[in-house]
Amino acid sequence: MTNVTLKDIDVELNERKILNNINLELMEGKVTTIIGPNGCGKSTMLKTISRIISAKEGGVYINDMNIRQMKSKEVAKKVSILSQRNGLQYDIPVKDLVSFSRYPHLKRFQSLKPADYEIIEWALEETGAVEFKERMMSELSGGQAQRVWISLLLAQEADVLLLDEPTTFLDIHHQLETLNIVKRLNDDARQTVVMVLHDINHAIKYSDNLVIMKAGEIITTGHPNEVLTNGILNDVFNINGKISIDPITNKPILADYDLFCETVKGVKYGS
Amino acid sequence: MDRRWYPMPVILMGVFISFIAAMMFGADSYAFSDIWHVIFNLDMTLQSHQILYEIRMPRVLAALVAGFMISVSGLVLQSVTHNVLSEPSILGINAGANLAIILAALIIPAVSFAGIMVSGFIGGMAVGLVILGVTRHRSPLHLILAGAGISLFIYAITDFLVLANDMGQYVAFFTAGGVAGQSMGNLAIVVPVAILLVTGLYLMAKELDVLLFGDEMALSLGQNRALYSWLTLIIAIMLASVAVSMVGNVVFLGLLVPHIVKMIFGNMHRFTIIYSGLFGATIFALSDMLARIFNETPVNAVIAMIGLPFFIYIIKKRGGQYA
Repeated sequence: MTNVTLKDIDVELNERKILNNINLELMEGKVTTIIGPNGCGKSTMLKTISRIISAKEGGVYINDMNIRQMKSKEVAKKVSILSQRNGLQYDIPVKDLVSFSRYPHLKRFQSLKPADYEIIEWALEETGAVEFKERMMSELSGGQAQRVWISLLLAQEADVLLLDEPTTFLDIHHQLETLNIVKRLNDDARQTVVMVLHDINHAIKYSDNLVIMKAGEIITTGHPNEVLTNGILNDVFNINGKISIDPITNKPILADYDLFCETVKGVKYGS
Repeated sequence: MDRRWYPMPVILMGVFISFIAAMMFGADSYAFSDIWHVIFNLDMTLQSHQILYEIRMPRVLAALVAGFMISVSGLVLQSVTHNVLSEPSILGINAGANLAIILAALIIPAVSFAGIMVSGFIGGMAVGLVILGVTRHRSPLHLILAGAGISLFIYAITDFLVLANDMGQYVAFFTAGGVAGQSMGNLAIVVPVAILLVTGLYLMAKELDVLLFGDEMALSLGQNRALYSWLTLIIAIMLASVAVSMVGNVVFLGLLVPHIVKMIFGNMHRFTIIYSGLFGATIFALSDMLARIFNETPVNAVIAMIGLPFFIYIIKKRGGQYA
């Protein structure tokens, strides 16, 4: 298993502080979801874990090794990331894109071996993307493209999967489909999953653990049942939420929400 | 086998046919049987064999080799700089190599071809890196502006040196570009260098793929971006500089060929490196053949004449994707 711990992390981008004193140990084999308002540093945190952004202070430790002291390819074998907006500047066939996932496992000047092709095929089958593996990425719908990206994540065979807003730009059906794939993979392979989601109900439904962030700091972490309260919604998102208990799952559910007494274009909301 | 390799036999046949055609046609034309005999039982007592073997064959082979090198260089430059307009002449490699070769000839009047090659590489590298440095993280437009401006400046210095030292005859072919006056001796130096450099790039095909798809892809897959960007860039500049030492200032080929190849075969470098080389070799050899037929027209003009219709088609078809 792979233990990932963030210790005293500060991140600055363009001299603006994005993350402030972050301490977090990822729950091994569980699904953790980070929620918080726009610009609170959720994506930055994922990028810091995967070494795309470097911390100014503190560090990310994989099995007690600082990732800055590890070889880049070794980090990529442990942690894989699905970025927020995977716009492709160049077109590429699905199977070739997924084959990039094997890069960290190849030695210098080495090309793909039969075993690598088997793993790529398996990853495409897991997400149901295998049926369009010969097509170009530009020909796919948003939902299909997302399945390809998740295949890429899988074939990288890392123990820790980071997904930055995997459901953005998808309709509700494809959002659930994507999250179900992630959940099933977590159930089957016991990989550690860390996601950023905007939909609070999705976060509750699919997570074992929530990390709630605001302004570059972690406000609280814990099981959805424990941490999700009206007070938190008020503090973090500045919304007036009504949380009930889902009678089937016994998990909380955000049944209704509105802004606090605020006037927008002369219409009074939420009073 | 990947179906993108299927056209390979046809393309190799095309390269072979263009070699034969370029041998047969020119200022004077020869029969296929003459070419056959020159290759398989050369008789240097015959004047036709002498001309074909000592003048035309080196010229055709030089065109094939230089076309291969310039096109692969253009492809790699486009990938590494993430700029669809990159090619050796826009990056100032031609201008830099040109100036360095003139300087070398001024300092050592009897400079050998290997010396020309090395000085060409130093000059091409210097100017190429200056232009890339100025336009780093800038748009394709910046590259064009800086490339055109700095190249003109370098050519101005070159012209000054040439006129001040009365070297017009020596440099005429460099500035116009062309493969006249090649020797088998030059080829014996260039071919091994070209094979070495292209093999190096081919071994790094997967690195180029990852580089092409951007910084975040490279970082998340754990690629040492800086190392492979520099390695491939230096090899691409070497390829173009060596080609310039041999055939002078050839423009447009390094831009045109990779775009045609990418339109047909996609973006994966294990295919595009090889196909760009073969297409470039064929197009350059045929352009030089036409140049000879039409009374030694500058080969750049012929490449532009052949290439432009293709290029306009690509712009029409794929314009949106490159926006």
